[in-house]
Amino acid sequence: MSKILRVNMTDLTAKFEDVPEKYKLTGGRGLTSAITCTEVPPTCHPLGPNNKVTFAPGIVTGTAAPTSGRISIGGKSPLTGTIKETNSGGMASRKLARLGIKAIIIEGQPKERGKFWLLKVDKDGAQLLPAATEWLGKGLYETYPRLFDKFGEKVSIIGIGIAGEKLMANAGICVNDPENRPSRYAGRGGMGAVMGSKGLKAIIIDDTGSPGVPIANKEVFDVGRKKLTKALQEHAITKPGGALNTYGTAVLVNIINEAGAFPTRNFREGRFEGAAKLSGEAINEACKKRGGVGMTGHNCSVGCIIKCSNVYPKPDGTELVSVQEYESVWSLGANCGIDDLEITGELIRLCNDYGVDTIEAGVAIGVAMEAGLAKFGDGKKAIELMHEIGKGTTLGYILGNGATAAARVFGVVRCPTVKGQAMPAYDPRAIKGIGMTYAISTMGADHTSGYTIAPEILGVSGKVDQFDINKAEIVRNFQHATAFFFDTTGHCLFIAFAVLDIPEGLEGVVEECNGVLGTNWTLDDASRMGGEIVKMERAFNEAAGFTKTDDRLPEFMNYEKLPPHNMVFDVPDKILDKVHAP
Amino acid sequence: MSYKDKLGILNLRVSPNEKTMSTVEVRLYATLRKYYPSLGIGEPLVITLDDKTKLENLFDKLKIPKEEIKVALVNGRREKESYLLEDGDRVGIFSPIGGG
Repeated sequence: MSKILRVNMTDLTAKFEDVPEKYKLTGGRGLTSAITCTEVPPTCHPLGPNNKVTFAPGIVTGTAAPTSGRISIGGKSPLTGTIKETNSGGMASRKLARLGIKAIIIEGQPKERGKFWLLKVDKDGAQLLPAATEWLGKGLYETYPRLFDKFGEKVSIIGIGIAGEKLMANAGICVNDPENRPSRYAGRGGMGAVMGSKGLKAIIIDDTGSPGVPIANKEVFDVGRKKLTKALQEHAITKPGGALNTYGTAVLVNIINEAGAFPTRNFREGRFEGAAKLSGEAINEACKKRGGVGMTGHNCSVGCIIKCSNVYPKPDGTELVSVQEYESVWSLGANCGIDDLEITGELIRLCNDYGVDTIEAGVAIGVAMEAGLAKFGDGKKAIELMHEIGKGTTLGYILGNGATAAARVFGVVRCPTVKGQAMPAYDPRAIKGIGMTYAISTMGADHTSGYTIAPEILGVSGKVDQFDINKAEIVRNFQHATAFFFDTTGHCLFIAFAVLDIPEGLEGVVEECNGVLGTNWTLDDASRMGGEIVKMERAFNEAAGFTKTDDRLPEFMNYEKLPPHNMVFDVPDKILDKVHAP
Repeated sequence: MSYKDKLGILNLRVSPNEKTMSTVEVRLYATLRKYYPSLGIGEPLVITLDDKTKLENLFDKLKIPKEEIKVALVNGRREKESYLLEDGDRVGIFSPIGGG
């Protein structure tokens, strides 16, 4: 019988509640958004007492469903002012689900700013413990080992870094990986600052003796699980030894670069002369050449078939960092004119250490370079700028608050953000559908809310012309499908590469849910539910003050041509508005 | 008078029936690199082709099994196999890949 854990940081209480009927058949983003829309006033201050941060595993998380260890974390974002669901892999979600915890809601705010607690959750219940000073104000590569020392190596830790303690709007929420590194992140949208504003430093989860996840209809569940497993094991992108397993997500570098859509030097160009050096192929080569701990095919969570992560080695074979992802080697690499994996590796490690999202951090540094604080390509200076964040200097606070804040302070017009959130690694002027996605997503510029790159560039889920502007329907379909099939079920988004090409795989996802919950959903039901999630999020944003003029890209993309295609973003407003209002 | 016109007068211009050549730059990525292991990542293979060579003919000339090719970009655009290559084209050829 699952429960909701409600933690009030004003009263310092932690209580278990029955799951209301309306939440029983959802999970992940469906649940965090529903709770946020019900309990958080849309006009509240994101760092004030009335915001809430909710953690929820997905519907099938904690079961034998493959690649389903994702956690959704939601609330009102201090970065964008919109509703936010930020999503991560790592070890925590499975443990929460197996403890029978449907969601943890953190509400209220301690009377004293700067005081922090830990929340310990295990089979016997939940309790708040004052956070010892030795766990605060330090890098997470120091703090996480201390916490594992204290609570045991087998727990999982969801925590915030210095950035979250200091309420910086780019503070992410960290989840440990299988080797207990502080390296997986629910990075986007600054939810680490919300956690920090509530005085919560970390959640320690011990699932020893946990009851596991009850399955209403085991036969149906097994049919679904097997169909999905088969699809994942067969598809060239997701299979063992396939593209993601061999090269990791940075295998995208070369194709997006070749397509002329790889944002370079703060979105000035779409092709970077140093791209090949940042690619998944280069990471794979370095791991092979250097040996030691270096590896691709690393998994971030239990039960993943794909295993797309990596551990990047230094020249001597010892560990530099896990993980060099596509988005991170782009934002801290090409976007800053840097072509060196040793530099991006160190920058990523610092993001993990200080507790910030790599995408936002890289774009903020790119803006800082645009402003003249460093030359594009100066990796050493980029590292110094990252250290400012950890030190909490005035400059550090500016950068730690993200690209929009940095652009405002330094008078930079070329600020590649939507609703205050930095764009990820695809330029809208060369790939129109992802540009539309950035504009209309309920979460600000966000590629994971609807990964149209699949049909636009990769030839997955069909093929569409990257330059075609008539994409309202396809963008909408991706928004709706993503909200349910991946973000609510607890599956990693990357199963999309298999299930969008192999229909049985997609059916399998729905059957898994039916098996767990005892429901009878069809694919259409699932899409409809995804649409309802997006609809409720838009209603929240509207009540928070957002209008359709916020569903637009930054002005400079309308007039600044992006080489090599030399195009601007020319999707008319009326097509953008058709996405959510056909 | 242009050089070509002068050659025409002197009857030295290349006959229209004779083939002209195109030079294209080809970059192979992901698992396709195994067919040209000596090339660095992103290092182009410069190939001279007969004029009016189709993309699919290029695949044959490169001896890459077609079933391993997922996407071919020419000058940054995805093109069909029947695309006629032109002098100076930049071609990127990919096995199935994905990411985020």
